[in-house]
Amino acid sequence: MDLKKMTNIRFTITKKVIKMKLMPQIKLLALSLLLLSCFDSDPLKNYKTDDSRMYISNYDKKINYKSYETFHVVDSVFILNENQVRLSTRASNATFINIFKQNLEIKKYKYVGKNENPDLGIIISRVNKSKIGFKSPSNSYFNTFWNFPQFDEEGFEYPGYYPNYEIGDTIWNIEVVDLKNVKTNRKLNVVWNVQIRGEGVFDEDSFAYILDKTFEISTFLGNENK
Amino acid sequence: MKINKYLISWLLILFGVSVFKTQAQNIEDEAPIFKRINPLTVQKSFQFSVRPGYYTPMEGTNSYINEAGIKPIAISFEIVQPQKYSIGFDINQQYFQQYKPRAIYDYAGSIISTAQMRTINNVSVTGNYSRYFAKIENKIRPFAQMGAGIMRVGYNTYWAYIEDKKINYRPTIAPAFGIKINSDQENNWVLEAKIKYIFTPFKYDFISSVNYLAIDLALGFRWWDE
Repeated sequence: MDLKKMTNIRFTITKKVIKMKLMPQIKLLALSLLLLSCFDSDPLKNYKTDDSRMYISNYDKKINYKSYETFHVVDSVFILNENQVRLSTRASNATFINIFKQNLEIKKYKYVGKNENPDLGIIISRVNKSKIGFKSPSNSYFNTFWNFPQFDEEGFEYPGYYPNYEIGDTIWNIEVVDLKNVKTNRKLNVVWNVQIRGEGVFDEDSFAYILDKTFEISTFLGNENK
Repeated sequence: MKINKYLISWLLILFGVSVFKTQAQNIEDEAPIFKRINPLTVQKSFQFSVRPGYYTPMEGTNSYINEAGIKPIAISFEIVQPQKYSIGFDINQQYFQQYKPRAIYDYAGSIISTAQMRTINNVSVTGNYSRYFAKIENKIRPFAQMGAGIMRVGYNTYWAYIEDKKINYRPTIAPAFGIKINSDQENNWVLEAKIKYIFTPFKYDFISSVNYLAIDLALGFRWWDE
């Protein structure tokens, strides 16, 4: 028997082995791979409530925040949805506004009335799992409140930073506008924008905690010298 | 539970191979034994392997994630030539994730307080050339390997629930050193272990390259063609 014939016999056997015996193994391997690919891989499943919360403080590094002395807060809270804005009627809104005011006062800014030429004008809104565009639509109420019809078309300006509005979530959105320099700027510059996102941020019990966390990271604020 | 499923899959594979081994031993070799030149050493063979491993991020990646990969897996196919080389390809999947507790991140104009879940999910396809340092009939064959191909890098950081996702296709290289343990030539199974370094240029946010060291274990089976 020559070598070629011998080789052929051997390979015939090998082929039979593959066909008859190997197929179950291949199926088994395929099944194993399938099993491996079916693992649950939700990376956020172990998140706790606090992990869902995010405090964002957008500010302009060029601005000296000590140059402002007084502020006033629009006494209503608004609901933002797409490019629409409407009034919120929740009773807890007043609590939120008050705690926010108190925190600013701790930073030595003085609360004054609407018509006492405040340096900073503040409007607070909620976004409830809906999307809004790049710019907050809350400026329409702001303009009405302080009678700035000339800025209706332009809306708010966000100098030096980009607010991150695009994703639908449960958000407190706070806009702090420079009223002191509005005549020279000819714009409603949002010098500080706050977003508080995540689970339970609309629960009244959480207000003090989440605002405390927000002011804690906003270290650029403060008017201690005045 | 995840680990259990993973183990079960591998036990299934091992079981399958052991069954096969027993069956293969029962097949009689009909070839005469005089003047025998083992044809399996003069013909090319094919090898299919399933390869779990242990993947550790290296510099460039470990600033982002410094925990080992979760259930990394690869499958490979190679044509083993009777000379001291083989060519083939790998399909490799690696998933890394790491939870980062709440911290403060200072971006241009934004201060963000958040927890993060950092993830990378890569799939690569590489062509491989292996050079062996022992003849094909040897049971133990050390080898050096060079792999090059393309990697789909899936970077995704969850800032609380907000995804910051970046997916890119990038060239990748994967040099390796390893050892192949062949079973008896009537048997088709192969064990393999190698140390592999993987480098993929990818720069984004916290990461300056996808870069890790892997211990790759393989369970393979081989067959011969006519």
